[in-house]
Amino acid sequence: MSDLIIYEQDLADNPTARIPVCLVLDTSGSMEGDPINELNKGVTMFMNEILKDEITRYSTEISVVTFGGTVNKVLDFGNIDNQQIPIFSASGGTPTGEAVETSIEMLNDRKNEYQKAGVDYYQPWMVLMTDAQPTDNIENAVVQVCNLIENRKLTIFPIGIGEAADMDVLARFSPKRSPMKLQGLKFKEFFEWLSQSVSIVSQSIPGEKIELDTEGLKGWADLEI
Amino acid sequence: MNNLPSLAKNYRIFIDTSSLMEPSAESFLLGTLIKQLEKNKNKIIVPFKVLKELQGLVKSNDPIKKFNARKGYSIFLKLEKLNCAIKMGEKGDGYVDNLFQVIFTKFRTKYKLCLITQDVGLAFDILDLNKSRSAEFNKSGKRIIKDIKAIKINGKDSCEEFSTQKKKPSIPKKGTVIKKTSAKPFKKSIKNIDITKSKVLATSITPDTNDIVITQQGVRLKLKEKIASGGEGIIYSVTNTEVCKIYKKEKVDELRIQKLKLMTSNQISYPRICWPKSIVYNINREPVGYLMNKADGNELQRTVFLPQLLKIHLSKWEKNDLVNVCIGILHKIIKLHQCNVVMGDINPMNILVTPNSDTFFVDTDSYQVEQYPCPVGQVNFTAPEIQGKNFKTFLRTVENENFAIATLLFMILLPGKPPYSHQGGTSPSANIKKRKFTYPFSYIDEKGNSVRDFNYEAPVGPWRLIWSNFPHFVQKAFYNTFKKGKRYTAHEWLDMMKNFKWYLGKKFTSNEIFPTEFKKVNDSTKQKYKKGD
Repeated sequence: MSDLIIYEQDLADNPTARIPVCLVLDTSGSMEGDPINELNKGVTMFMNEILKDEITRYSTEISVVTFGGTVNKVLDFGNIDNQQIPIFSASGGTPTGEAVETSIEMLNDRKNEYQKAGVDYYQPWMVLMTDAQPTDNIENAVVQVCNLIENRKLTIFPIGIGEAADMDVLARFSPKRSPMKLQGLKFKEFFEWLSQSVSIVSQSIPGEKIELDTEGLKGWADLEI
Repeated sequence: MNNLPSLAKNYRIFIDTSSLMEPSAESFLLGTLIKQLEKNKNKIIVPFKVLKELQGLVKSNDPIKKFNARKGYSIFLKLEKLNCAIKMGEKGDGYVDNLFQVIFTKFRTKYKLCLITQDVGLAFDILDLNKSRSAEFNKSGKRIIKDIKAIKINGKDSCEEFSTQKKKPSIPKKGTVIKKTSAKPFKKSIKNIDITKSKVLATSITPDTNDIVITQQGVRLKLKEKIASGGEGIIYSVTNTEVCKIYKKEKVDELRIQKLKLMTSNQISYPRICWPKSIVYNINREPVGYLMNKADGNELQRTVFLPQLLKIHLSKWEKNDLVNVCIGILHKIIKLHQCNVVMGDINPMNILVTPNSDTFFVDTDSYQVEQYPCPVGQVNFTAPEIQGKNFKTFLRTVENENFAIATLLFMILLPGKPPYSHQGGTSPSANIKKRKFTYPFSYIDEKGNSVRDFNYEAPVGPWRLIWSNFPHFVQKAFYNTFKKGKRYTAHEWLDMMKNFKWYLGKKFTSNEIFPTEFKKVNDSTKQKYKKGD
C-alpha cells in the first residue's frame, strides 16, 4: 500500500514530461552463462546512467519484462529513485509473442495513468532483445506492435543477440527500421547508447521530432539492410 | 605529390595524432606510403605521446572521435607489424605539438625530417624551423639544416606538401581597437534570409582544450577546461570572466558566421545577457565559434523546473524568489525587444539561475536579428499559430514571443508544469493548438455577469493550490493568454510581476512556493471583487 502512495505521489508532484521505456528481455535457457551475465551488467549500468543525470532521472521511467520459460513483469513503471535494479537468471523456452503483448499492455496502462494525472509524456520505447526463435505464436504481437508504430505511438529497438537470433522474426516487429544485431556480447555499449539517446529525447520537449544518434550504433552493431 | 619516393628514401618521417585519425589515413598509409617505406626499409616514427593521446581519445564521448582514434591506433599496430612503424618516446615528453618542435629542432642538422600532420598551424611552426637564424648556416656559410618538410593526407591515397609560400588568411591586426558604443536597435526585417541553404564552411581544426583561438581583434586565447557541451558545440573557459563556444564542424556555416558578424558589430551590453563579443578563429584563421561573458548558475530546467531538486538545493526559496526570477528575466527581454531582437527559442535550458535568483541568458547566438531567423524552438514555448512550422523558414513576431514569455513565467511560478498539461491530455502540441487551459477562473464579463469557468481537468498535484493562491490579476493574465489568446507584452508582465511582489510583501497571499491550502478569500477581497477587479 505504501508503495502505491509513493507511486501516485510522483505522478502528481513531478511536472517533467515522461518517457516510458520497456525492456523486453530474453532470459531463456540459451542465454545461460556469459550472455545473461553481460545482460545483467548492461541493465544495471543503464539504470545507473539514468539516475546520474537530473533530467533523465525525473523523466525516464523504466519497466522490464523477461521471457524465459514464463513471461514475468520484473519491474513496473515508476520513478527510478524507488526502483530496485533487477538481476536475471536464464532458463526455459522463448515466449516472445506473449512477452511483447505484456509489454504493450504495461505501456498502455502507464499512458492511461499519465493522462489521468495530467502528466505530459513522450511516446514509449520498447527494447526487444532475444537470442533465439520464438517458441510461441507471435502473430498477434506483431500486428499490435506494427499498428502502434504506424500510428507513431511506439518506437521499437529490436536487437538480435548472437548467431542463432532470428533476424527475420525481429524484422517483422519493426516495419520502419531494420533490426540490429549485437556484436558479440556488447550489451554495455548498447545500453550506454540507449541512455544517451534517452537523454537527448528528455532534453527536448514531447512531440518534437528527435534525431537519434544512430551513428553511435555503427561501432558495434551490423545494420542489416 | 610526386616526391613521395624521395621522402621515403631520404627523410625521417614522423606522424601526429591528427593524421592517424584522418578518415583516409588507412588507405594512404597502408596503401600508398607503405610500398615506398618497404622499398627503402624506412619506418614512420610514432611518438609514444601520440599513442597515449589516441588511447585517451578512444574513451571520448564523441563517437566519431572515438571511432577514428581506435582506427588510428589499429593503423599503427598494422604498420608496426609490417616493420614500417616504430614507436619512440621518453618519460616526460611534453604536450605533443611542442614535442615535435623539440624533436625537429634537435635533429634538423642531422637528418632530413618530415612530419605528416593535418594541423596547419603545427605544420607552419615546424616549417619555420627550416630557417632559424642561429642554426641555419655554419661559420663557413654552409647550410647545416638538412631539410624539413610537412605533409598532410588529403585523400584516399594522396598527400599534399605544406608550403611556406602559401598565404595565411588575413585577420585584423592585433590591437585594433573596437569602438565601444551602446547598441543601436537592429533593423526590422520582414523577410527572412533562407538559412536552410547556408553552406557549411570547411574547418580544418576544431579547437579543443589547450588549443589557441584568435579573436576578431587578433587576441590569442587558450581554451581551458570544458564547461558544458550541447547539440551545437562545446563551451570552454578562457579567462576568469569569459568563455568560448566552439561549434561542431558541421554547425559552422556561412550564414551563421555572417549573423555573428552582425551581432558582434552591434553588441548589446546588458548585465547577464551573454551576447557574442567576438567571433573566434582557429590557428588557420577559420571561424570556429564566439567569445562571450561567463554566466553563473544552473539551467532553469535543472533547478526551478524540477521541484524535487528545488526543494533540496534552494530550500530557503519562497514565492518571492520565483517572482524575482521572473522580474530579472523580463528586464532582459525588454532590453532585447527595444533593440528589435526576438529571443525566439525561449526555453529553460538557455536561462541560468543562481541561488540569489539572478538570471543569465546564454546561447544568445540563436536569437533572431534582422533577417536572420532563430532556427530552433521548443514545442511548449511555441505559440499555437506557429506550432509545427519549421523555425528556419520564417521570422517570429513579438506576438509569438509574448506567448513564450507567458509560458515561461507560468512554468516558473508553477515550477516546471506546462500551462496546457491537463487530465486526458494528448500531446503538448495538440493541447496548445486547441488552447486547452484547465485552471479555474472567475470573472465578470462585459455584460456584468459573474462567470465561473471551472472544470475537473486540471492536473493532479500541488498545481491547483499554487494557482488558487495567485492574486486575481495574475490568474487573469494567464487565463486571458492561454484561454482567450490575448498576448501581454514583456512590459505589461513586468508591471504585473512587480505588483505580485508587492502583494507578497503585504502578505495578501501565501509566500510558500507549494502552499498547502487554497487561498482564503477575506471580505475586503470579496468587496473589491464585486467592484470589478
